[in-house]
Amino acid sequence: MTLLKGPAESRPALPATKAPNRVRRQIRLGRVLLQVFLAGGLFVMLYPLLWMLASSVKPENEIFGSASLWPEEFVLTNYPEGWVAGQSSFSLYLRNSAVIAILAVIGNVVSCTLAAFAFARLKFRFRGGWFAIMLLTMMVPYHVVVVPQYIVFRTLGWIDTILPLVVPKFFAVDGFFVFLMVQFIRGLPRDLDEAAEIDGCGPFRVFVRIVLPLTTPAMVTTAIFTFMWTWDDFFGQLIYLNDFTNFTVPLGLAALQASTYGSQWGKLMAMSVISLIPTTAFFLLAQRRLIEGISTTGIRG
Amino acid sequence: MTKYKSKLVRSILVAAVALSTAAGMGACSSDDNKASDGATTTDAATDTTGTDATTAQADNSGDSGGEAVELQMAWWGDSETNNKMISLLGTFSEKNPGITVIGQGADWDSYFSKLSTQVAGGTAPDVQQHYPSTIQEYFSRGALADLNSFSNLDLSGIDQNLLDSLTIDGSLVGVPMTIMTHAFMYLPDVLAEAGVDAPAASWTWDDFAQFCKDVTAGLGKTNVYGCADGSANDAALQVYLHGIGKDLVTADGQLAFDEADFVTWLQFWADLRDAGAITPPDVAGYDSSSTETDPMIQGVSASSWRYSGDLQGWQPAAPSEIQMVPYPGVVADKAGWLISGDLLSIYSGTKYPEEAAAVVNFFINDTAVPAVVTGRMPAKEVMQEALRAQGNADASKMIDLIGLVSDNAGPVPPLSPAGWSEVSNLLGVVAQEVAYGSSTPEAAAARFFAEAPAMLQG
Repeated sequence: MTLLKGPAESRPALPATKAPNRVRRQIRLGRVLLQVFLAGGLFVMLYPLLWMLASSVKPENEIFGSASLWPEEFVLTNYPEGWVAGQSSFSLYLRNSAVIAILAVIGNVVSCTLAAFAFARLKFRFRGGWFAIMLLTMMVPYHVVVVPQYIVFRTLGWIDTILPLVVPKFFAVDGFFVFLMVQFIRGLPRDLDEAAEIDGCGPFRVFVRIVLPLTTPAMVTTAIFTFMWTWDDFFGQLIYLNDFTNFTVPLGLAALQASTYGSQWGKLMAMSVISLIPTTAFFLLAQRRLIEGISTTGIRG
Repeated sequence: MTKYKSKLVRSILVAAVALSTAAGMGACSSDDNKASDGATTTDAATDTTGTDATTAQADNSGDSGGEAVELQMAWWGDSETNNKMISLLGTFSEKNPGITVIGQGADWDSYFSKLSTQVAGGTAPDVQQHYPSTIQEYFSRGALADLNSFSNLDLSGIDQNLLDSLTIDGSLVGVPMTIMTHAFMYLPDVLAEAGVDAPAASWTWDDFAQFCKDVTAGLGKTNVYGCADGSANDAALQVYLHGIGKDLVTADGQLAFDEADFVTWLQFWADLRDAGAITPPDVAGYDSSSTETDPMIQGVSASSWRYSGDLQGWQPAAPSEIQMVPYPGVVADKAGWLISGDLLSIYSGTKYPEEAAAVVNFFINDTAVPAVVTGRMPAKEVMQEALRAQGNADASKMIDLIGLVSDNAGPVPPLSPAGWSEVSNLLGVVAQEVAYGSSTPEAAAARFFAEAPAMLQG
């Protein structure tokens, strides 16, 4: 302390800046502590992911054998081996998952926006009642409807195809997204619609020209969540897809989990890492548009 | 073309029905679905056979001269099992031209969620894998066909006691593809070090007590014992009770032994513990569920209470070679029993019962099949010998052990009722209280008999 103080006092010009300096230093210390605390929290939250990442490059016996995250022996063989460990290669699983997820995103975005526009802007008989029924569908637990749904799709001959996973999305069955969009559209100023109507727009043109462009953030939110939920959906894909060639990423991962001795943990972890890439990429790409959307509509509104 | 068209029209109609019923009126939809359900099944049947009307009849009898039959078969397992099963199904198709079997594999956890949905939805796989603990439920839901009714299913050579245990209300609901039995595992190297002979294939509980004392004394070490404490092991208890003509539970879920039997059991182990012949409670855990916690694997015991199917998983982790004999008390007049592993069943709603039976028959009889799942032994001796011929040492040991038990195999005891896992925990608790000296065998038995019946009822 004295060492530091000595030369500082000897300089005449410093005292004026000294006090703010100390405050700044305190602020900086506070920020450093905060950052350390947050980094600690981040580490705890990320630990499972880091563990997965680390296990994917460890040899099989080291995964549960050592507590260290850093692999003693660094192996990359889990990736190529896991890729072909299933009945089909992982590229097929990824492609199947991508087809389902992308169709589901398109279906949900198109149908939920249309349904939401109707609920928010159009006047029709029993609108309140239909809206209530739509909300009720959100409250019915999925497992209650599994069997009736299965029977319907079986009767249609859709078992072991992707249709049961995709077609309903084109009929706005996800009440949550309809509700989200309805709330969003209700927040848009009605003056815009009225102005368009005065200019001669019918309901559909109002939707396409006025509401749709302003609803981008809600559509992006819908797209992101639909993609993630569809990509991660295990149960639906489990019961509707039978043939190994129709398997998706979650089913492919489940097949790597052994039911007897000696799970293939390394390969499982490696493929889990791979399966996270599309969701993360989709989120990062779409998230930018989400923020953009909010800022632009914020300025206009 | 017309077939496609009518299918499309039907699809639209059904969709319309489904949509109109789905719109909030859940209560009446089930009837509608059932009605359309029945209609389409018959439709589908005419669809597939109608085009080749001439061969339709011959088709069902299994000649399969005309139209190709496509079956679904479901099993659980990892990707390795999936690969084996798919290649076996290929072999089956080669030997049975005209029948294609499409496999559905899932891991153990998801297998039964999927199967129960399929059964409820009225379209389950024609051939299904089952487990003794699950089969009753599926049979009571009407999902399983009676396998006695198939003439092309060769069951000869399968232990009759096993088949009896799988017969519910006169219906044979599954056939064992694999079997196992109780295995008293020991390490010959440690026995040699102690200068003790290996246990005989048929030995009594007194022989066992002497064995433990001899091994511990012969080793003269402070931290290695003759055997793991088995007082809390319900499988060992069951074999002991079987030896005195009793059992753990009756078929209707009552305790099938009395307090005095249990006191004798706990006292037997307490005496061995006092003599220092088995692992004391502070040395070895009582959790026998995993390889790592097993006293024999940890090197504090020369032997352990296991099942034959464990060998393949236990051997790589063990300090030296493992050998197996039946549990003590499994002697000629007080026989042990075989345990069913994976079962194969036929869906009651299958369109091709004869062909499905041919698939089951292939899996239990064709020597191309042995050991689909590593560590599980086929049920028939012919199949076991075919597996032994492949030269796997572990498999040979398992087959030998199964052979020893099956020579005198008795009836398979009833399956544990729903509340048994709780009772099993209680057994562990009271046995450990005695082991740690905080309770006497009499007090522990009294507590067990006060609490266990309620658990079995609940």
